[in-house]
Amino acid sequence: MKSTKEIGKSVMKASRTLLTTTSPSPATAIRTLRARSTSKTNWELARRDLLKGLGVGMACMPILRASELWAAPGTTPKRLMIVMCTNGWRQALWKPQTGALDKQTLPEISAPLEPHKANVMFLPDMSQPAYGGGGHGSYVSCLASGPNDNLREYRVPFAPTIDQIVGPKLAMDAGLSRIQLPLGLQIEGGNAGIFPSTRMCWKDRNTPITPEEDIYKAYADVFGGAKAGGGAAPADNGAVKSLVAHKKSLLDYVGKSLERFKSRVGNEDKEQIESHFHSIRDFEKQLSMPRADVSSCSLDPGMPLDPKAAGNYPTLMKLSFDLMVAALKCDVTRITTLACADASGSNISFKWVPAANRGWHSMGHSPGNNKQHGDKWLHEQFAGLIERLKAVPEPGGTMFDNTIVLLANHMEEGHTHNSQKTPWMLAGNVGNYFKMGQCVASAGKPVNGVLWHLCHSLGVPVQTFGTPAFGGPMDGLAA
Amino acid sequence: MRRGRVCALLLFSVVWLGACSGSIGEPEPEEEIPGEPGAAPAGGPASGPGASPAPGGGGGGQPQGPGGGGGNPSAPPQPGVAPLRRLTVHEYSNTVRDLLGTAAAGKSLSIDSDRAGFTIGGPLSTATDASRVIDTADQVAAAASAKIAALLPCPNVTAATEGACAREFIEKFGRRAFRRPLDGGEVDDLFAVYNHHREPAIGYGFPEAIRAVVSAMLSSPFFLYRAELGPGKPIVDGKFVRFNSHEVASRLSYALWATMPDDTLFTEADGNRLSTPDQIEAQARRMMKDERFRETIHDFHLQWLEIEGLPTEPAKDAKFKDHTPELVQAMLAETKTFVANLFVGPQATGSLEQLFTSTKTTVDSSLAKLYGVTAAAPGPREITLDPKQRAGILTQASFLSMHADTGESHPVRRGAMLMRRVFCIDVPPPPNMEVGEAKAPAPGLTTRERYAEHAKQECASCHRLTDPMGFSLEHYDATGAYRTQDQGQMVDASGKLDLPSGAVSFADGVELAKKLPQIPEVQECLTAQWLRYSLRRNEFEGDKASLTAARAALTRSSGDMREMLAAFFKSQAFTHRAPATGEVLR
Repeated sequence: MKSTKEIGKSVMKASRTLLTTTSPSPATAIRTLRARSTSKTNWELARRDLLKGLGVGMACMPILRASELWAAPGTTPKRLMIVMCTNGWRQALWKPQTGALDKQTLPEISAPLEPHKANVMFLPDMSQPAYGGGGHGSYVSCLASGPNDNLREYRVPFAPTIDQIVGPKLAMDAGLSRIQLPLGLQIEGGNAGIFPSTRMCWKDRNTPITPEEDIYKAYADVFGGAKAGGGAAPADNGAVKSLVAHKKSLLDYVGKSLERFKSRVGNEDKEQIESHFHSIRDFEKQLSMPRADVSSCSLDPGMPLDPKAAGNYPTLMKLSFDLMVAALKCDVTRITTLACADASGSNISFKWVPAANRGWHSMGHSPGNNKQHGDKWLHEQFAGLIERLKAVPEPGGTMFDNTIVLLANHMEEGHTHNSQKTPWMLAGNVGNYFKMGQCVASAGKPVNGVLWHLCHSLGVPVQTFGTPAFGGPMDGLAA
Repeated sequence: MRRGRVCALLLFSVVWLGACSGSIGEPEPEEEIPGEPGAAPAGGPASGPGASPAPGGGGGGQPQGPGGGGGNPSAPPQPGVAPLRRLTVHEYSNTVRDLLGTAAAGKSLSIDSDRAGFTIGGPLSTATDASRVIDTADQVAAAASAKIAALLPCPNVTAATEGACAREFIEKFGRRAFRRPLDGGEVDDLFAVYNHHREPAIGYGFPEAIRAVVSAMLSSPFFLYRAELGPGKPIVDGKFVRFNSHEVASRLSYALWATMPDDTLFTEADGNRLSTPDQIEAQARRMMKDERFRETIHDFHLQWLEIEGLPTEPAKDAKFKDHTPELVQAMLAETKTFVANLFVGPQATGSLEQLFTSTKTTVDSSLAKLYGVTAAAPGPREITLDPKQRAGILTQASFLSMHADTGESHPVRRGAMLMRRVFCIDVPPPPNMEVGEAKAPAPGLTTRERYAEHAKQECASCHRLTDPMGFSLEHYDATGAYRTQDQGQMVDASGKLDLPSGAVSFADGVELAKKLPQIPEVQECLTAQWLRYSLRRNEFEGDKASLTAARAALTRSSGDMREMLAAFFKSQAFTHRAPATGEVLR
C-alpha cells in the first residue's frame, strides 16, 4: 500500500484536471476501507476505522484546494486567527517602547516573541469606547466593539464580531462551507459556563457562536469526514456512504419537520426556527461538498485527555493550536478562533507554571505576585503558534505570511481590570498589508481601528467597524 | 436599555432605577440600533433565546407587552405568549433518561443560553450545532439499542410485518417522544425515514432503521423544542389560548421535574383530564411530593441565587487555605440539601421564613469546621448553627463565597446580586464612565471603609441600594466564615434599606434575614422568580392576576411556598397563553 504521502503526491499531479469533476473515486482508499469493514454492520462501524479510512480516502481526493490556490499566482489565501486571553498582561513587564522593535529587546513577558519580533505588532492601551467600562464584560463584546447591552455583567453586542463580518465572504470566495472553526478551552469550575461568559463571537445579539470545547470532537469534526460533517463520501465506499446518507436522511426529515413546526409558531419564534433551518442547510452543504485534502495535515490528537481537567490545559492548548494551523493549512476554513478561557479565567489554575500556581483571575487581581510568570508562559505558547505557522511552506514564504493572528486580551491587567487600556498584538501578515515589527502609539485609540484594518487586509472593505463614530482606521498600522 | 431589565410588574423599581441611572447622567444610546429591543416589535431580538432578561422587558417576546419595561397600564391583563424553548442540557439529559433509560450524552449539546435570568437551550445556528444534535441523537439511539428493541410493539417481527411494526412503533414511541399524539403526516414523515434507511443507499437492517427513526425523533424540533404547539387546533378561550391536556402535562413536567411527563401525566392527558384548574392543581401537588421535584428545587435555587458556578479553586491566601474543591462541593451539597428538605420529604414545610432564617442544616466535617462547629465524624450530618451567626440560605457558605471575590467579601457584588435576585430591583453595572477600583485592602481599613467612595454623589444613587445590603453580610469573609473583626476593626454590618414599602433597619445580616420573609418586595420577587423559572420569560402586566393569586396563597398559608406554586400552576399565566403574533389559529 502506498503511504499517505505518496498517494498525496500522485494525486497532486492530477488535481488540476480532476478539480472539475464532481464525484471523485479514490479507489485505493476504498480498497483499504473495504478491507477494514468486513462483517460489521454499517451502523457499528468503528469510529476509528472510519477516521482512518477517510484519512486515507481523502489522500486520494483530487480536491487539493489549497495547492490549487497556491499554484495560481496572486491568489494566496488570506486567513485570520484570533486567540483571546483574559486578565490582561502585567503591563510593566509586557509593553515595549513605542516605535520599531528591532532597536529594543522585548520585556520579560513578551520576550518569547523576540525571535519573531519583525513579524509582530504591539497595540497597547487601546480604548473600547463602545463598552466604556472595565472588567470582564468586555470579553463578550470587544471583537464587535459596537452597540451592546448588559446581560449580567457582560456586554452582548448587537452587531456581529469580526469573524462573522469577514468570515462569510472569505468562505464564500473560497467555496468553503465552514465560516470559521471556533475553539474554546474551558476547564470545569469557576464561572465557566455561566452564559454568556464563554462567548466572544456573535452573529447578532441572539446568536452567539458556540466554541467547541472538546478538542477531540473538534479533531473528529475537521478530519473525521462523514463522522461530523464535511466531505463527500467516496462514491462506492459502502460504509461511509451509508453513514452520510443516514445523516442526510435525518437532515431531510428535520428540515421537513421544521417547515411544519414553523407554520405553527408565532412571528416571535420564526427567527429561531429560521436559524435552526440554516444550521441544517449548512450541515447538509458540508456533507455534500467535496472536501479539502486533509491527508497532508491530518493529525492524531492522541489518547483523549479529560478536556475538563485543570492539569491538561497546556496539552489542550497545544492541540488547539495544532488543529487551528491544520485547519487553515488544509483550507477547511479561513478563520480559526480560540478562547483561552472564559471572561474571567478563574477556572484556569496555572499550576503547570510553578512560579505562578494560582488561578488566572486571582493571580491577576493582586498586584505584585506571580502573574508575570503565567503571562510569560502564554507568550511562549504564542511563540509556539508562530513557529507552527512558519513551519508550513507556502509559495513565496510560509503560512505565517498569509495569516494574520490577533492575540487579543480584553483588559489591561488583572489588578486594574481596565478595558480602556486594551493590549492587543498582531502577528504574521496578509499580503504585506501590515507594517509589522513595531509597537504602535495606540494609547487611547479605539480597538475598532485595528478591527477596521483586519477587515481591509482580508478583503472586506468596511466603511467603519462597529460604532461608526469611532469605527475608522487607526494610523500607523498599514505598511 | 437598562430600564428594560426590571420586571415591568414592579413599576416602582422602574421609577427607582430611572432615578438611579438618571442621576449619574447616563447617556442614552447614541445611535439608533437596528433591531434594538424595544424599537423592534414582534420578532425583534427580545424574542430570541439570547434575549434574556434585558431588552423589551417582555423577555419572551411578548408582542403587546410593555416595551422597554415601562409597562402599559392600559393593556388588558392577559397571559403572555409562550415563547419557544429548546430543551436545556439538563432537560435533554433527563428526558432521554426517562424516554430510553440511558444516561445520555446530553452534555455534548452544551449550548445553553439564558432568558429571564434562567437557563434555556441556546439557538442552533451553525452546521456544527446541527451536527451536534444529530450526533448526539445517534449516540443516544445506539446506547439505547437494547431498550429500543424492547420497546418494539411486535416481538416476533418477520420480513412481511416489519413495515407495519415500524409504523406502530412510530405511533407509540412518537407519542412519548413528542409528548403528544402524532398526526398522520408526522407519522408518514418518520415512516419515510424508516423506509429510506431500508433502501440500498443506506442499507440498514430492521433494528438499525428503527434506531435511525429514534435518532430522527430526537433531532426533531417537536422533541427539541418545548413549544407546546401540537398539531391539534388551539383551544381558543376568549382572547387567549388554553393549553390542551398534553401541553399542560409537558408544562407541568418540565416546570416541576425538568423532564418529560410520567405515565400518570400521559394517562391524565390522554383522558383530557388536565383541562381544569383543579385537575392541574391536583397533579402539581402530586408532583411536588415526588423525589424528582428535589432536583428542580436544587436547580431553581442554585440558578436563582446564582450559586451554580461556585469557584472550585482554592484561594491561595493563607487565611483561605482550607477553601478546597472538596469544601466547595460540601457547600453546594449543603445548600441543595437545605432547600430540598424544605420542599420535599417528611420535614418539608415549604416555609419562606425557614428559607431565610433556619439554622438547621446538613454539613460535612470540613464545612462544620468553617462554621465553627466541631464535627464528630466525617460525612454529612444535620446540625444547628449558632442563631446569632447564621440565618437561612443567605448566610450559607455557598452563597457567601460565590458572591465574594477571591480573598475579600465584596459587599457590592453581594449587595447588587441580592437586590437583583431577592428584591427584583435591578441595579445596572456602572455606566459608561471611568470607574476606579475600590481602595486596595490595607491593615486597619475595613472592607466597608474601602467602599466609602460610593457615598459620592454620582455613585450614591445606585450604591445606596446595593451597599447596605452587601454590608449586612460583612460578618462573613470570602469563604463564608463568620468574623467579628475585619482588618483589626470591629465589623459594622448594620444599615438601613430604603424600600418602597418602607425602610428596614438592621444590626446585622441575621437580623435582616429574619425580616426578609415579611418584606412585600421579597414575597413579590420570589413569586415572580418562580414564574420566570417556570415559563422562562419575564413577567409583565398581564401576569398580575396570576402573581397576585400565587402571593395570596403564600400569605394565606403563612408562607408555604408550595401553596404559592400550586396556586401559580393553576393560574392563567401557566394554563393559558396569548396568541403569538401572526399565529394562525386554525
